[in-house]
Parts: sequence; C-alpha cells; structure tokens
Amino acid sequence: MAAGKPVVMVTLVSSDGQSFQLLEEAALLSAMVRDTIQIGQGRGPAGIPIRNITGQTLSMVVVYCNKHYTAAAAADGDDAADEEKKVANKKQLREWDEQFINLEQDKLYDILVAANNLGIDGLVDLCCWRFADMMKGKSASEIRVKLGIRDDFTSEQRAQIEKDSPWVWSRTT
Amino acid sequence: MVQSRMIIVGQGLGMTQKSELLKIMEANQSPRKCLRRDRNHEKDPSSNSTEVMKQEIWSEFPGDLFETVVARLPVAAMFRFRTVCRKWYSMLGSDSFSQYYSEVPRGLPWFYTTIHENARNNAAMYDPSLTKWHHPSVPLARAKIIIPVASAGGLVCLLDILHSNFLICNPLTQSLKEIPCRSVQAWSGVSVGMVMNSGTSNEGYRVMWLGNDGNYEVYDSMKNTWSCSGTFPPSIKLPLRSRPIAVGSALYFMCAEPEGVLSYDVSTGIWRQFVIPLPLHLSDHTLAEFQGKVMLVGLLRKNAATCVCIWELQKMTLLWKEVDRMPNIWCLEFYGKHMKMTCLGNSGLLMLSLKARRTNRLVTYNLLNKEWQKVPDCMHPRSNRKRQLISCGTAFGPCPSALA
Repeated sequence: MAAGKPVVMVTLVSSDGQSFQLLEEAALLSAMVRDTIQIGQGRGPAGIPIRNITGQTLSMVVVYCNKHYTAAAAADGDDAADEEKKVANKKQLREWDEQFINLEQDKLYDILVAANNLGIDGLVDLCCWRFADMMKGKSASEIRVKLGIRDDFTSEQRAQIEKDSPWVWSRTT
Repeated sequence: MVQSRMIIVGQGLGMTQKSELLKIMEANQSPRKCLRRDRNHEKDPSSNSTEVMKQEIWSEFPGDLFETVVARLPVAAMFRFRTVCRKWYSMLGSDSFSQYYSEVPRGLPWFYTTIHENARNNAAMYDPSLTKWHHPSVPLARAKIIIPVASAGGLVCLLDILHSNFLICNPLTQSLKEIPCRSVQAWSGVSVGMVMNSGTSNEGYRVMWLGNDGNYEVYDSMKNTWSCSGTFPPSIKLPLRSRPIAVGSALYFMCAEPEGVLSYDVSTGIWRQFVIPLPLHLSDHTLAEFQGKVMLVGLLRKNAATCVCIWELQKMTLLWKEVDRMPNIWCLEFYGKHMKMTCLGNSGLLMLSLKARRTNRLVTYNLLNKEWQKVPDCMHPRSNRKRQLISCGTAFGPCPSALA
C-alpha cells in the first residue's frame, strides 16, 4: 500500500440501527456498496443503510470483509516472486474462512442471505460450501425425512432413474 | 500498519454479539485443527451424515441459492439426490443447474479405465475427492474391446479396436454415440486427441487421430464428418511418442527426432514444431496438461535409483523446468529394481502405474496442490479381483449434463 494514501471510511447501518465503520476498500467487496458509492452516495455521515440485515449478521459480514481486504492488501505488497509465501498466506486465509464459517445453521443462513443481498461473491461461495457439507453424506431417504419431502415417484420411475446411472448405486471400492 | 487502523465500531453491540466476534478473533489467533478439509478432498460421505439439517431453514431456501449449494455437492451425491422427489429430479437436470455446476471450480478430474476380463469390458472410474472407485456399466455389446483414449468436456472417447471405430460416452450417464466409420484400417499405434469447440458443451467437440504414417483426420461433432486440413510436417520422424494432450484448440504431441513437441491446432489446421531438449537420464516419459500449461512426466534414472519427476515447459526459453518429484520414501521402494511407468490420466490429475518386480503401485499426482497419493485397490464387484495394474485410461472432468 502506498503510505500517503488517504484513509476513507464508510459506515454501514443495519436494519436495527447499528452502525459499522470500516475502510471503504474493505466495504467495496460488496457489489451493492460499490454501486452505491459509484452513484456518489454513501460517503456522508449518515452512512449506507442496509435493509433487511440485522446488526448481529452485519457485524459478521464486516469481520469477513476486513479480513479479506487485509489479506488482499498484504498479498499486493508481497514480493511477487515469493511463491511459497503466497501459498502459505492463501492456506492461512482458507483456515480462517473455515473457522469463521463454522456456525449454527440459523446464523449461517442469515449470513448467506445477507452476503447474497450485498453481492459479496466470496462469502456466498463460502456459505454454500458449508451448507453442501451438511448435505453431502446423506442418502435420498434421509433428505426426505429431514426436510419433510414426500416421495412422489412411482417404483418404476425410481428404477428407471437408478438404471440411468448404475454406478451411483453399486458398491464402491 | 493497515491492520492497526481497522476498527469495528459496533454501536450498541449486545453481549452475545461481542462474544461471537471474540470467538472468531480468538479462533483466528490460535489456529486449531482444521474443521473442514481442503475442498478438493471431500470427506467420506459417512463421516458427517449425523449433522442435523434444520427443516425450517432448508425449506425456506431461495431457489437460486439452493441450486448454488447443490452444485457444490460431490458428483455422486448429486446423482443420489435425483431420487429424492420429482422436483429435485427436474432441478438437477435443468439448464440453470448445469450453469451453476459449471461455475463451481472443480478441483480434480476423475479417471476412467476399462479392464478386459473374460471377454467382457469392465469399466472403473476413480473419484479422487472421495478416493473411491465407481463401477459404471459399459453400454455396449460384450464382445467389443474398447479402450479409452482421450477426453474433453466431461466426455470420454473410446476406441473400439475390433471394429475400428470411435465411440463417445459420458461415463456418468448412459449417453453414448458412435462416430461415423472411417475407411482407415490400421489402428495399431494411432494417437488420438480430443478438444472442445468452445468452453461449453453446446458447441460440440472434435476428435483427431494421427496414424504411424503421418496420415490424420479430424472429426467435428457439429458437422458429424471427418476431414483433413494441412499436411504433417515432413521433417518430423514418425511414429510419435506418447498420447497428445489438449490445450485450448491445440493438441500437443511429443516427438523424438528432433527432440521436442509438435502442436496441431484443430480449428486452423496449422502444425507447429518446438525443439526442446529432454532432461538427461529420462525414460518412460509422456506429456501432461495443467491449467493450459504443457507438462512432462517421466522417470529419472541414476545408478540404482529411479524417481518420478514432473517438469513444466518454459514457453520463453523452450526448456523443461523441474517442478516436483515423487517423495523419497516411495522412490526407495523401487531402489535397485527396474521400474517402468505408465502415465494414464494426463490432465490436472496424473494417474501413474508404477511397475517393478514384485512391486506394483498405482499413485496419483495432483498438479494443483502438488500432492502424491496412493490409490486404493480397484476391485470390480463382478470379478472380486484386485487390480493394481491398469494399462489404459484417461482423466476426465465429471459433468452430469454432457451429451455425447
């Protein structure tokens, strides 16, 4: 980072009136904030109102943005040739992500919806991987029971689907 | 410097929120054991099947976000969930879902092989994310002997050596197509390559064969015909070593005289030759592809020691630069023995069959994270015999929606 660069802060205001101040560059991870600032709004003391996102959820989103912005800024400053350091930093960030996203489903869902509304692609991706982790080991019948889905296939239809991809249902080694 | 300026001003943060943030900060400072492994290494499906899914959350998922989640499941789970209900079945087969699927970076390609036993084709697919072998059926008459020779866009090109024709299949589904016959009879030693016409499967694929005599032809799936453009460079000595690899619309062949690499662009019909000296003491080498880069895999022999090495082509200097070698401890198993190697899958993930007296090993090398891994024995449910040696196969990117 250039030393003389002015520090610009923006304020995000949650639906329940809590304000969060962060570096503008960190906030720009959000496409929604980007759009707001581009049309010349949001820099004033009133901040950017974030509808439908509570302070509790927004605080987590802010933590994510700060971390990812700092990591990216640090990577820019690094010697480009130091491949090993880059790999190590990436790994560290991934580990941080994993810790960060290891949350209760309710909170995870709130963050996913918030990240989607704010247009923070990396955070949407992270939440979706976490949700996929919860699903992936389950069988079709477990999914039906857990999610209260009615099995509306006839036995012939199911047999046909299983016949289309027999490797899924046969023994693996 | 930057970090010290970072402030989170949470006016009116309640106690619970504060502790939530604290927990994250603490977790960040003292890295504990990773809870979730690398995305490329999905856990065994049984290991987390106890994790509760709250119905009230999952039933209110917006459709697009739900598809985004499902697109991140292991391929086997996507197929399993087709039988949940009609809605899920049609979602998993929809165009919008295949769009979501194609946007997710897939870490590792799979590997497809066929084994001929008792006059029957048995196929096996290796899923490196679950380190499991799956056993798809081969939708073909049993008398045919087919060999997987190339792949692109989730499709595998099979060569039927008795009937001298090519078949294209998606190993995940029963999608299969026979390419119109060619008049050429000699099939021994043909090199076959395959490329996609564009990034998506909608615009078809091309298959190229190159014979020992320098004759070659390209099949375009959109036109459904074979054609030939350009002429094989006369200065190159035939036959060519090893299978070609695909980078964009170009196929790269390895040539021995003069030592180097030969490329053929299937869309323009232009041949290009690169003279690149091979590393010393090299044998059993073949080309591989990784993220658009041309790689070389081979054995380095020095005195009694043999080691598998990986090189990357330096396009500026036209030299091979060593990037990795097999761990010493594995090389020691082969010390003093005459090792032979066949490199099977050669795109993104290398499947190496190492053979020496009384020591056979099947290992994978992941070009992305530079990881060497032993492959579990492949046991076919019908024959119940372990296979440690695999003689033919190809890497392929699993794609449920690819149509032959």
